[in-house]
Amino acid sequence: MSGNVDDFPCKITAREMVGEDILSIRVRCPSIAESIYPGQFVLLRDPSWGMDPLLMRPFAVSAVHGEDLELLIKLIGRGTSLLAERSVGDDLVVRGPMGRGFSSPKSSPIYVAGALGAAPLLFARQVFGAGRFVLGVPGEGWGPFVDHLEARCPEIEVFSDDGSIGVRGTALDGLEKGESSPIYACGPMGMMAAMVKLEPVSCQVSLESRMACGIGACCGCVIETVQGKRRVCADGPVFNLEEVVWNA
Amino acid sequence: MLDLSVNIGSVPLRSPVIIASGTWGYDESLWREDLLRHVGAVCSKAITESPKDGNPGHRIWETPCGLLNSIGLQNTGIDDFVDEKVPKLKSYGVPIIANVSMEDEIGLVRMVERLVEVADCVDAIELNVSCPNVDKGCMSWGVSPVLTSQAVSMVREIWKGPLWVKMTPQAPDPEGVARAAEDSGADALVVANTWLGMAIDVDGKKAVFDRVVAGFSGPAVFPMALRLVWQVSAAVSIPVIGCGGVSSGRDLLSMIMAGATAVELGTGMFRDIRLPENILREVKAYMTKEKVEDLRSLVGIAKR
Repeated sequence: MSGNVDDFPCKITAREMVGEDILSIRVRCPSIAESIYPGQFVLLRDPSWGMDPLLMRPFAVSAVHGEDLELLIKLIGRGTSLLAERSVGDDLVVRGPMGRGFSSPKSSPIYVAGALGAAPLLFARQVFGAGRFVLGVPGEGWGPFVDHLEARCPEIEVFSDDGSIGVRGTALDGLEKGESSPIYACGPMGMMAAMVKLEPVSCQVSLESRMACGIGACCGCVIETVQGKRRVCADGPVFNLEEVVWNA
Repeated sequence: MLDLSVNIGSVPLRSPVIIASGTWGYDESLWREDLLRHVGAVCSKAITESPKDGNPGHRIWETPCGLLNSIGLQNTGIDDFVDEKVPKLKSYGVPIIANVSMEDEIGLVRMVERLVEVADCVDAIELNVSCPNVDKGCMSWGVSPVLTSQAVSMVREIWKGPLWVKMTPQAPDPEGVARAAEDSGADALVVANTWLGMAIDVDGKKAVFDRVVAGFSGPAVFPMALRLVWQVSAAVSIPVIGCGGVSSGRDLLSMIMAGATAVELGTGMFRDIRLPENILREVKAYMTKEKVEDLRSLVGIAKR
């Protein structure tokens, strides 16, 4: 794997809820901030957890601000809910940068995000430069999240399933079949599987999987690829669209 | 000068902390001197005769203070281990324990024959008759004293080097299995592997794992592993290696006082990659405070 397995103590420098269950958090970690590459991720743990929750939690980095990492976290379980209770100045432990990130584009890219999948793409945009940024969200309730993204990415094109925000439809409705610009995508597995039908010339996808170790040891996070099972944490999380077996 | 070195039969270890099978990868970034300085030995991921893809579906489920896994022995097979992995692992300077997962007799014999070819690079075989996450072989051998004895005898006939047996906590008669392993030529016992558990996806109204059952590990199992170490170490005269939920120096000391000579760290490594170092710091502080110079003097002390 290409990541760094070291843990670093860090402090929360900013936090903001950008939706009912979406946390934007900044943690100060100079060594990771200076070395992390778009698409790589970090593991996070709160020292106050003790043994419960037991494992570190993986998160994409959505931006780097000087010595700070910015993360967008959806509150989906006990670990993320506990993280949302922490305040500015509290201590966390961060490990990273982990995994393999995106390859840099040879021409202006298109970023295709499904909901929270926007996180690694915002960081990619920060490093690789602006291009089309297409976002799909379920609809009502995602307004504050969309506002948060529009503030940093004014060119964003928004689609929603129910048409309550932006244009009715999915993020894929913003793409042409056989798109020749390099695509960077992150979102639900169904969204990325559907991208195959669009036959883009070049597409890298960032995947998510339930992880235990995050360091390539346990093989708990594998996905099916044309080369066999690959570890999302160490062989990914970024893969080429065509190497993933989507109907596995 | 505090002495934390131990001997597992004829295998000298600089530290009583061993990294358990399946919890340390082969990626070079993990084999750094500063991470392994405090480690006595590293057990390989479980090796099978042929490459295995492991189990489909969910493989990981966290519980309070514990972890369920259903990896299913994903590995690249014995030939890749001997030809590709061993030469690299040897260069890292840490004793390597080859965890051999038994599926059937023919496969076991072939695996051990291949390991004989690199016997000078492999410090011990850890015979795994305890993985609960596969349908074929493995734990079904380890729950039976007779089958454990057969398996150990088969390996012993071919492999003259150190031989450890990794037991299953599912065995109804752990002392019987332990004695059978000892009588058949095992040099040490690893007590134990994961416990059988399961999880339900309440939203989806179904079992989380495709195989329904999975292996349960982590701090939650420590008291049960400690009890097994106490029981088994009283039943045999070969060294016992405690394995199950060890997460602190006090856990290690408890295992030693219950009769273990060393411990294996598994799930705890996922949470704290410097757990060996942190555990030993705590153990050294205890030894200094209690004026204990040699850790070996504490083995089984709680029973005396």
